[in-house]
Amino acid sequence: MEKQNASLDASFWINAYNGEIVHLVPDYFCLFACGVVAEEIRYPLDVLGLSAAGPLLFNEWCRAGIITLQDPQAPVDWFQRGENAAIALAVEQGYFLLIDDANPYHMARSKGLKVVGTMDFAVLLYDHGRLSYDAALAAIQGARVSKKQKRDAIVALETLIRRKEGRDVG
Amino acid sequence: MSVKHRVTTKSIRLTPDESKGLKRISKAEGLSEAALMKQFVLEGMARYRLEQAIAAYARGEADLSAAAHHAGISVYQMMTELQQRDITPHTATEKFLDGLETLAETFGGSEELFQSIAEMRQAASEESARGVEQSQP
Repeated sequence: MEKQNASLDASFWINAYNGEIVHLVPDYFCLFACGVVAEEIRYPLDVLGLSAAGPLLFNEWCRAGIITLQDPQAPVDWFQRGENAAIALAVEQGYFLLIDDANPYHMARSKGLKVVGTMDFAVLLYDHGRLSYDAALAAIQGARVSKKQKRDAIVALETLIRRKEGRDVG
Repeated sequence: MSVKHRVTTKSIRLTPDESKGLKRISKAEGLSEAALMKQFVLEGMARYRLEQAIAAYARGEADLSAAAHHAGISVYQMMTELQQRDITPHTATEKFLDGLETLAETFGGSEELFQSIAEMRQAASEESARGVEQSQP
């Protein structure tokens, strides 16, 4: 399996960390984060002075070279700040876009970007046998998204289990 | 005093009941009525900015980052606010299924995963068609 380069957005990082699947992301992606995205992720540390584990891990991964800080040459104006830069970087470099915000989705897709969220990633991890059902469910439940978004992911998980069980029985 | 730090006096009119209420809170909190009113105004303005930002996000006019910036809060806080209000962007299901399919095509997925995606797309399409039918007169 070849790893893919990906531009990281703060929303993906926050949910992947909360869902305890963030440690599996580097198995699939070489991560790149823009300065603005890094600022958003580090906010609890840098602005609130809180010793938050998610931002600390982000810093550790930057130091270890697991995440590379890279800014786009020309941020686009479709949306503002974080996503603006994360999308611009993905467009310029041909990276995947790791984002949990659905609002910039059509614009990102129209630019030919491959867009991935934590809900989709959790289901894939279950399919690959990297997460148990309970762990995949916990990742979905731990995300800061709406009930409908969680329901979609749980339906996908249940449908997948039903089909896999059908195959095993058949 | 710099222009930024110059203060302006605003006056408000309160009914006797409102005035009594303010006095009670002032005593309970150990704050002057003026300090309390300033606090209430600032809190009200922050709440107003947050509601405006959330409404713009719900209409698809702002992304998460822009909404957080407008409300003067962090992306973390904005994600929590949206989750508490259970706000779903209208492209959420499409984004989820496309993302899952992209992942499966890129990193490999089981036959059952592709079948599950197709089944969910079919269900979403039927649901959408039913919605169109129901909305027609």
